[in-house]
Amino acid sequence: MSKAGRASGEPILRVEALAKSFGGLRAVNDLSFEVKPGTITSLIGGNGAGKTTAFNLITGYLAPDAGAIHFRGRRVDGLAPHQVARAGIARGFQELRLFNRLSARDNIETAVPHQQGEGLLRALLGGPKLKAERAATAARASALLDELTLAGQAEALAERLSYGQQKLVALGRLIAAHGELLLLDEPTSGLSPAMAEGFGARARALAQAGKTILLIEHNVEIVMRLSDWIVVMHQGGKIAEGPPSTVRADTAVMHAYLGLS
Amino acid sequence: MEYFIYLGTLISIYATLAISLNLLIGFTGLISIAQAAIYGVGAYVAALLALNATNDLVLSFLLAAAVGVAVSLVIALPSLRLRNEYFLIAALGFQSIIFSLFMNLEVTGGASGLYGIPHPALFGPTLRTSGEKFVLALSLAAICYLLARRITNAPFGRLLRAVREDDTAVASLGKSVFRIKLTIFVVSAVFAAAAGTIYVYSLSAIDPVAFGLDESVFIMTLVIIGGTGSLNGSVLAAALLILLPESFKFLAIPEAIAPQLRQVFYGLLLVGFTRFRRQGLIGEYRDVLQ
Repeated sequence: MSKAGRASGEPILRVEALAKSFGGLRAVNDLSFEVKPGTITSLIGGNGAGKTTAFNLITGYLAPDAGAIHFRGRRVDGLAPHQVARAGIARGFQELRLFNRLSARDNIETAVPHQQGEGLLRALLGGPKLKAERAATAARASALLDELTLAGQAEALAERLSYGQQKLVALGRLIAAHGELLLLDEPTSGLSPAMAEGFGARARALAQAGKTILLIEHNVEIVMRLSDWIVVMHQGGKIAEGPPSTVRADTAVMHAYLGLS
Repeated sequence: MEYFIYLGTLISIYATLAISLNLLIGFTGLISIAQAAIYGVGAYVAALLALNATNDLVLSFLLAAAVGVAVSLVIALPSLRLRNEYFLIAALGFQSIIFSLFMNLEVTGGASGLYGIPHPALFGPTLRTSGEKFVLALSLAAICYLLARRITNAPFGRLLRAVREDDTAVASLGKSVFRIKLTIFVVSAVFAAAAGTIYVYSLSAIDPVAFGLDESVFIMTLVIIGGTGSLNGSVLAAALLILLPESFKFLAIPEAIAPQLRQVFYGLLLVGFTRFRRQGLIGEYRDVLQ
């Protein structure tokens, strides 16, 4: 990573004057920010600030009323969610959205992109190519499950896992999807302090491996420790941004939205 | 003997239909109540072809499947993007429209249907006996079962289950949910239309009542009782739900109330299974219908 990269690199994601209203409510209002490659950027703000709506706009689940979203120089607003994902933006959900009655392994294998066996014809024809692909996908999933300390739960249905383990499966699915930009929505909520620390270390390792992370997180300490850049939202708009030291020094922001002195 | 061959043929046809619907309900979470309409389209196409042009079975299959798919796309294209409950309503509307077309069009013979359908010919020879037609129905059921097993065991099958669990998450992984649903809808329509073809040639006559809403509900009953997501369950349920009511014939039940009693029996089974055994006879999942 990281801070040097932020200073010099072209942005991987550029959000320009984004707006979205629901009836009379302006959920996102003239929001602009950039995310540099290989960095961890956090979107913070109180409940209802528009963070998750911003995620939904970036990932195609909502269409913006105005503004533009560029990913690696390509405009992605207006694309369907699966097209945004194929462009290289992988998204995790606050409510996890695991495939509950699939095993942990199947959850992760499903995320592996470009599988020929996911087409009907290839599924029907079978053959050695498909066998080899399935073996490669299984090996990739096993490695990830190992890395996430889930090897012992590989065949367990996702719904039977503890919440912490489910969070790990969700992270594994995100990593397996092979996106360049990972959007994480409250990844440490509901986790013990030790597990939250573990997540922080994993996020840092991912950034060091070249992934870019855009994070929504309420755990202020983790945000401050992990982020290279912080965007503060309030009532749908951006009220401040900068490195953690700058945001932390902004007493108005800290008082109003983070409850810190 | 003839009677048992007839039962075997019926079981094979309903096993095919249950497999076709299980691909939608059990594996993909698409609760469709229009399977009898697509089954009927296949049947009428095969009947009209046999009456007006050729009794060649391969041609009948191909044309019935093509028209079955084309008609099913009429419902699939506009409604597969809908949420489940809306999709169910759209499918119900589709079922009603197709049924009233069967009932009222001149070409389908209206309420009296079509009859005098010639025996089918397979690669030259004509299949005249009920035994030959049973083998035909059984072969189709076996082929559909094997194809469905191959599909559901492949990564494509895993993707179907993932769509059933959470299609929003599937889209976030770069997979087109619409393409996946459309593909399995087409496969299901081919199976159902093929079952319709076999049905026509087995009975030599058809009438629209065989393809009404009751029939769609019956096929869904087979899937639920057999077990959503279980192909073996679909086959088992087809056998049980054809054979058990037939056993009423051997009880001292007046013939006038036997059909109504059969409906009561199906209804009780459906209520009983959804209340006490949601995974069906051998289904793997407890609450797909939730």
